[in-house]
Amino acid sequence: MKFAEVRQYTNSKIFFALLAVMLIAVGTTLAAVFAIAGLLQASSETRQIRERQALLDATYVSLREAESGQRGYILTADEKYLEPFTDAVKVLPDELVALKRVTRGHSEQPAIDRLLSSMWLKQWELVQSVALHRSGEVSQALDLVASGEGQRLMSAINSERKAVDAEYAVTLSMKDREAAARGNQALVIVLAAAVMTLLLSPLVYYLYVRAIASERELDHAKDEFVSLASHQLRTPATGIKSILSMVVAGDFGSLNEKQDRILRRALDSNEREIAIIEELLNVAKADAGRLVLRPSEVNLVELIENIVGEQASAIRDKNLILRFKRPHDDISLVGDEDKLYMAIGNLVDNARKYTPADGCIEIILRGRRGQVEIEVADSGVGIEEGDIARVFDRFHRGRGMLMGTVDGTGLGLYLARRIAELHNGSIEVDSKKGHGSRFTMILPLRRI
Amino acid sequence: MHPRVLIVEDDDVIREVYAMKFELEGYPVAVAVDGAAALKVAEDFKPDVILLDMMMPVMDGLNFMKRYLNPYNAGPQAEIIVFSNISAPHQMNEVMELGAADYWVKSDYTPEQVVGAVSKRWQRQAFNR
Repeated sequence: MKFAEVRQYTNSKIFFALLAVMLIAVGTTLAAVFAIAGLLQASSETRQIRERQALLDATYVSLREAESGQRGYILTADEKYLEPFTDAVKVLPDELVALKRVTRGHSEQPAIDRLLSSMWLKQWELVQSVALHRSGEVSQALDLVASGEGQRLMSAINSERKAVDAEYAVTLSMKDREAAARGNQALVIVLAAAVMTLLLSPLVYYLYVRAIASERELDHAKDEFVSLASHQLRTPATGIKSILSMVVAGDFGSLNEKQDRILRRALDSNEREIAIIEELLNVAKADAGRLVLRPSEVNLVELIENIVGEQASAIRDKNLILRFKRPHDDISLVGDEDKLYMAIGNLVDNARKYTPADGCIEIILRGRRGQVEIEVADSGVGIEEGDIARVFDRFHRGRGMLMGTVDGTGLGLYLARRIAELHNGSIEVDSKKGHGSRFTMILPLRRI
Repeated sequence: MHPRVLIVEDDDVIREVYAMKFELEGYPVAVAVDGAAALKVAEDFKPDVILLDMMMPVMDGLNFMKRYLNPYNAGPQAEIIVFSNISAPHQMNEVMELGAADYWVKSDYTPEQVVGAVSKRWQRQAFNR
């Protein structure tokens, strides 16, 4: 299995475990919300029933008050009985109407309707008998009372009221049972969610830890491999360099011009090979976060002049024009000289590689507002728009590279950016296909 | 007078090439293929300068330094220049603390440059003495 596949595999496991946890969380939350909503609904209905019951009780009390007032007045003709009577009779119609309104549409409505019509007749009988008595027709009033009509109405009211109360009791106990059931349901769901979370979180944690561990192991193995490979590659390359340099130096006898030229070419290739190995090693270090800066005072003007000097012969070979626009005064910053040399050198190197013969390259160094800009512009082939975002990717190579006309590892810009970032700086690119490229490294002048 | 140079290196090509170069320049040279062999050779040869590789079989450069630079090791001790292809900062610090005189990365040097650098160090030291 390749590194990327292992990573994908462990990541997808974590992803599905987290997805499962989230689904369970969402599911249990919804279920708990429904259960609790049901519980609240049931308890609010219970409260409403109790309110209607209280209203019915109040109405009944008013009716009884009115009746006892009427009895007292008719039997004794004492006006003091009329006071509770009139009080009760005043509120009764409103109470009856209110009762009819609030019970409409509820299960007790038919029983209440019967009760209300009896109550209405009863209060009418009371009002009538008192009115007869007061207008002097005492005997008629007494007859009305003696007819037993009021008595019958009252007993009908009592029995109808019992029926309504029974209805209420049934509904209430039903609602109580419903609330209890909903409550239990919510409790069970919440407990289940808690248990599942307790069981699943160690699992997710375990998967996560294992993924991190295997990622670290992979990184470590890759690191080790690149380190070892670099060392193993460097040793024979160094051997060749030692031998060639001695031959070229004439340690084994003098060389003719042809031999000297060809051996110097071999020495150049060998140097390039060593540089590529160095670059690979740096990438391995950068990836492992171990590219450490060794800071010192760096004179950027000198540094760039050295780079220009190093590239001079290659620039001449391609008949390119290289201009270095330096500032009036030296610009120095605290940084890692070797790494900055490599980063800026890579930019100049790229400019040279991607600029066809007779083109020009311009390096501009300028300080502005606490930072320094190093601009490397060329009149070369430029970068296709779709590639601009990827030029700093590891192992990304331009078209020329892929066609084999330009050599390199595809690591130069990646390293340049990493090095700029390690100095708290950045690199920007501006390019248009066929119109050259401009890379600008921006470094802060303050200490790193 | 040239210093006596001991080259400790497991890679045949590098060992032979450097030995050849130092001999060509007139230096007395001895070679060893690992740290253990170097301890033995140093006893008889009594070098002034040791060019020491780090990664070697049997006994690596670090272990050689620990034994050779041990205060109980009688006799005059040579100056050790670590000559390795590993450019890890932590290793550089470690060998410098153990008492190495310098740390040179192999691929940065040609034999000529190494001979030049050794000669320069030696002259400076002779002057200081």
